[in-house]
Amino acid sequence: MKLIDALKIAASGPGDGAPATRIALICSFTPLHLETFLKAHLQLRRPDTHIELSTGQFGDLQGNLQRAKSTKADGAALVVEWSDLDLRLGLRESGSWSPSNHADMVESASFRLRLLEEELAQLAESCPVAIALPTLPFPPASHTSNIEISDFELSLRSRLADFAVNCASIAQIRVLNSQQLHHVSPLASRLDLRSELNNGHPYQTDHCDHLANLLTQLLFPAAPKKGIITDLDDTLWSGILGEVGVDGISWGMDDHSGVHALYQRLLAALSESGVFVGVASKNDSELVETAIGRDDLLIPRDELCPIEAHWNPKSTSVQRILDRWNVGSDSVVFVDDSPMELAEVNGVYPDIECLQFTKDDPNAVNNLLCRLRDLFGKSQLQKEDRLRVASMRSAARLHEASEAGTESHEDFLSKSQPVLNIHFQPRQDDSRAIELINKTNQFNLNGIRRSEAEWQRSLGSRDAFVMSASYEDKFGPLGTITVMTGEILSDRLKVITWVMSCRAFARRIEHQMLRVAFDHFAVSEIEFAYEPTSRNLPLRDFLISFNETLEEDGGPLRLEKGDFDASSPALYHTVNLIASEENPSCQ
Amino acid sequence: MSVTKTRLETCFTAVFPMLDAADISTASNENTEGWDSVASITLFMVIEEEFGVHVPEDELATLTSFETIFRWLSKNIADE
Repeated sequence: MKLIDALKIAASGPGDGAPATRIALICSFTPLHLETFLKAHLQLRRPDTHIELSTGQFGDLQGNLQRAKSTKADGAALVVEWSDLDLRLGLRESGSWSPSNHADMVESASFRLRLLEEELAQLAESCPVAIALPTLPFPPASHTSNIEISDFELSLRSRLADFAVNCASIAQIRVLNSQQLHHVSPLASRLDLRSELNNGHPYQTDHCDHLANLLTQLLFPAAPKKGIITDLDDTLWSGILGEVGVDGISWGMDDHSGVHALYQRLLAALSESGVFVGVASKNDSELVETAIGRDDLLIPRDELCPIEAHWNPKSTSVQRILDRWNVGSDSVVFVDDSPMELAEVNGVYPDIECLQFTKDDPNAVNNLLCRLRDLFGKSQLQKEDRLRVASMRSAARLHEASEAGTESHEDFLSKSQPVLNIHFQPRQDDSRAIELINKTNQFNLNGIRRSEAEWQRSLGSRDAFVMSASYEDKFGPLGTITVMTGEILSDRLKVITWVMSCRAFARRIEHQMLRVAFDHFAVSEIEFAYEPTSRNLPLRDFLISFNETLEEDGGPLRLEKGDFDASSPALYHTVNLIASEENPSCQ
Repeated sequence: MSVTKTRLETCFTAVFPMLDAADISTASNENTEGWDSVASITLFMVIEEEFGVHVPEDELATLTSFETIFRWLSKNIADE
């Protein structure tokens, strides 16, 4: 992006009345073009909001950080450069680079980083913070040649690494991966010394563009994909199973098929992070069962679910897998070695990201693996991520039991020993609630997404309430799967946000949530801030199931307790009501 | 109107979005709201990007209006 384009984008934006996205840019240099590019990238990322970017005072990183805490920002971008560790490392300063000062500069850097860390931890309590650690070349302040790194520079980099580790362990702080920045912005093309000396702005415009782009992605990351559907032959392994047999397929160094081992390792890691891994293969199903039962496969057999192995079109397999996972096609990636199969699936599902596995080009495979990391990347892993795959399998059992007719759905539910733990206070792991609100599509009252800061503000009202619930049954826990928030009015409850993970469907958890809401808040009516979206038909159908005339008057959607009681099916949950984390007394 | 003039107007529009199109050709740092030192830095960076030129620092002090900048560009780049 050129500066002139950034200026135009930064000056654009939605009409009056649109909500604002408030971002604090925290740095000690003149932000100048970085400010422009950051505003432009934020505007592209949040096109329906006005971008309000605040900056601070020149040369006062610590003070700017302190002031940012009071701005009620939706996010903060902190850019640290070498002079922030010690002023003598600044190119505009006249402090001595004498080797006799090096130890003192390292000590000064340690002290400043400690202060920064304390301030950052406080700022991150109210909003997400993206951090870029020194992006400019280290100044020529060492006694060594440029080929040899000095113990002085190593000591400073060591302090920075410790600082980064500590910051990255704090919820809501995301540290920019310098490797990614190197990839898009070569080190030699970052410093603009003329601008630094004349204006106090040290960056070339290209570097501003790349840095601003990555900081924006850190602050507002794309929703991670939920599942990957993979081919088998010449993708998960080398060889055509039907031709070479179970013992002929390979994925090892000895067989020059190491790229398939890499792919399997990545799939195993993704699965452990809660990503669904399914198989779509044109193959003999019995042969596939035997092949994936090989004990040297690097992804456990159980992690592959479901397995669609037959001779029907791949798009048919994809449809069945999407149904089993209960996710939309835009949440899924399809990997195959055949361009024809990729085109066939892409033709039916344009939303699916289709990626080719080119076994004969290891560098392309490496790029594929990096792409998959980006598509499935998460800032933090929740315990629910680890439960997701297991719970999908239990949902499959539930589905199969219903379909097989071996026992009625009613029997199945009553014997599943379901337990629902309902919390009435914001919990320490609010990030899970926010994650649910921002990724749930089907059972979502209105599709409104919330930033961490907006979430905190929404709970600040005296009349606000929040209900979140975790679930488990004899098949295992699902973790926190539903969140409801709103206001307690004099005569009714007003639900503003209600989401439930699609993993929790068909367990009547939504019915139990309403029953508890009616009883706990002692109201005879619940009003829902329902707005139709392209995906939330399941929630609408659920509400309408109690009273088909709910929508007819065109006003807010309201549910009477009498209608609910008359139509609610039997509920078998053991319900634990938990007032707060500190005082978990059950009612 | 020359291509250079049109491209320069585009630069001014980007840096001073509140400036009316009719006023661009007479704009100067004395009659244009927001034309401060920071805006000057941005304006010349945009011009350098747009025209692929480097404006020497010792000339910046005299380039304080659309007209003077246009004349400078006319002398220092080959017009299309």
